[in-house]
Amino acid sequence: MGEASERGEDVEAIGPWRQRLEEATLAPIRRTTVAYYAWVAVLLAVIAWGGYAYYVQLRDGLVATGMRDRISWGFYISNFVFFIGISHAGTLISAILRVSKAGWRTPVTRMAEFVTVVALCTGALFPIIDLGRPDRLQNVILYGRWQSPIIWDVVAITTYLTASITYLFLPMLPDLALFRDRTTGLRHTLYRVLSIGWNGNKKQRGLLATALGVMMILIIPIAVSVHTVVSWIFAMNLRVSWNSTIFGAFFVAGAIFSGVATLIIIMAILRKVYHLEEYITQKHFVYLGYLLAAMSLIMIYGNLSEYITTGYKMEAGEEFHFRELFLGQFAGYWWYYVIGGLVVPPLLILIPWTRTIWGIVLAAFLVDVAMWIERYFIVVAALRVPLMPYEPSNYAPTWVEWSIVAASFALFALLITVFIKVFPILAVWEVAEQQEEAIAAGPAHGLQPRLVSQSAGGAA
Amino acid sequence: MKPFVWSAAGMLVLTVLALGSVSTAHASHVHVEVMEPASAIVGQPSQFSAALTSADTGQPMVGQSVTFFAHASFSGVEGYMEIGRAATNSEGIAAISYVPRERGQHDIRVDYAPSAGGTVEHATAAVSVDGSGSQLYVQTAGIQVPGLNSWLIIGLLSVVWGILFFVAVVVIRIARAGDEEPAQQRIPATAVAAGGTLDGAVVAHARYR
Repeated sequence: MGEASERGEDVEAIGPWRQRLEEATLAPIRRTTVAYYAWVAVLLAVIAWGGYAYYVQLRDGLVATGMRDRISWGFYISNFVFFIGISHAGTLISAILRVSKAGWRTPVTRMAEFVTVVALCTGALFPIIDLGRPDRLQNVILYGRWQSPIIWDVVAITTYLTASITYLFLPMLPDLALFRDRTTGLRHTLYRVLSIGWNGNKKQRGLLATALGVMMILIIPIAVSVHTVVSWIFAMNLRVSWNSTIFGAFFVAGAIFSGVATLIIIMAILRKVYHLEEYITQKHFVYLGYLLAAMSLIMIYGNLSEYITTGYKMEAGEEFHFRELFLGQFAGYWWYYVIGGLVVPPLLILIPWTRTIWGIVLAAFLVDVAMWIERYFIVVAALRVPLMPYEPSNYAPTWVEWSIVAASFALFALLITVFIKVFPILAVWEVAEQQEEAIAAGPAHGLQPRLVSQSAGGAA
Repeated sequence: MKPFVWSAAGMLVLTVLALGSVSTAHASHVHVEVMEPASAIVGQPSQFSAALTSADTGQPMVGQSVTFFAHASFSGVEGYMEIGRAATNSEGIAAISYVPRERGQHDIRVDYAPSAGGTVEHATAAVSVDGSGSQLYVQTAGIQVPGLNSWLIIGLLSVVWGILFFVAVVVIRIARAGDEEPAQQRIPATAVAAGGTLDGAVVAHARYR
């Protein structure tokens, strides 16, 4: 009797709750504050400065960078690997959680999916920037060979970008229709076009379920292949520190690790700025934090496996590489990566009194910094190992490289900022459906707190 | 008498061979000569020299820069690869240290470009390198597994893009289905669980569900 009564109250409360959900999702497109414009202006200024730096690089050639013949990859390729890595946020969180029917995923999947697309668009620019002569990109198409890992990389990233955009668009369809019905004028026209006539009839829902079912399976192997192929850009070179059979798996793990960390940071920022506390709760941070902690343990295992096997054999050049990493030029970076990136973050998440939203966000920030640094020393420290009896080369990024990399982060932030102004920030229909299922299953199965006891701004 | 004849004949043959292996270039003013190293062994540094003399006076040319090349073939490209540069000493001899990486005959070429401009003079010589094997990276054919080749990549890509095409077709069908069938009210799970009928709020939003 009591349980049925509670369910009845829940059903009554779902109307206002859903209205609040829709309002929260529509809020970014309805209101634009001065702070928003100021933020966009700052980002545009950084991008413009990066654009000027790129102009200098085009004008003077790659001599404007710190890259030379022996260390021919630096900031750009490190940044490329980093952004491609965080693009795994969407796929492996959204798709895997969708496949495994993890109900708590619904408020975070949309953010994860657009982080994927935005990170891919940003990261894919860097091999072109690294070319020095961007016009030579056409040679990849004109003279590319299937035997080359570079071609595999181009093909894998193109496929992943196409699949990610599709995977972002499909579950957004019902929400675009919601926006269509709630807006007027130019915006209404935009959403009418984008929602391709969605009215939620039985046939449309069936077709959408089919397409989503196919995509959520397909996108997982594509994502794994992308970062595996990125690792092969290194591992298929004849270089001591890149001669590794586990590079593919190691890169995929690193990508998920940094992807989850980035998602946590973006979730925290958007939750705060757009007041999404009712939908993105501490539970979501804790669950993603657990995923981050699990990935850090996998990364520790991967590092141990990598360094112990190569260190035990100590091929020519490996000793120099190890000395540089542990004691030499890269020691500060390497020890930060191990302690600050692999050991401290899981402790912050697993120790109960630091397992708060801000504790988890701090852990995620430490991980992201560490993973950028890891990509830096994978690229630069390996190229520093002399292949012939000459003195080891040095690499120091110039202001041009710093500026372009800073601009890439600004571009990443700007694309997210603009995306939120145009598209639904939350998957309204999925969150609502999940809520209804939770109520239908009864309090024992409820994944959200009871609706009747919630206030508009109340966090669970 | 007979040993003397054989010795003389042998000397003659060796002289002809030695002359044949060393080439000289006579320009209007400069005489370039490649000097064969005493020994050349794979992986060992060898001294490669060239002498520059004035064709007019026969005097050695001092302080002139000459460039040494070795004939090489790599990844389907053939040609002369620069192996070093040196200036002539007081005897008109320029020398570089070079480590041959393969046994056999090596064509060595020496170029002299007058600093004041003019014709580049060059001379070539075949140098025999002893030792065993090769110290170059040699690309081997590898293990040929039937079906494990570029076509496998093309096949995989075709499957993936085929599936993406299928999804695109489904999206088109979703768009068309909007015109074919009006929106239906879906009975939400909550309403069923509560034993009631459609909740007003849910009905209002059923259009885009």
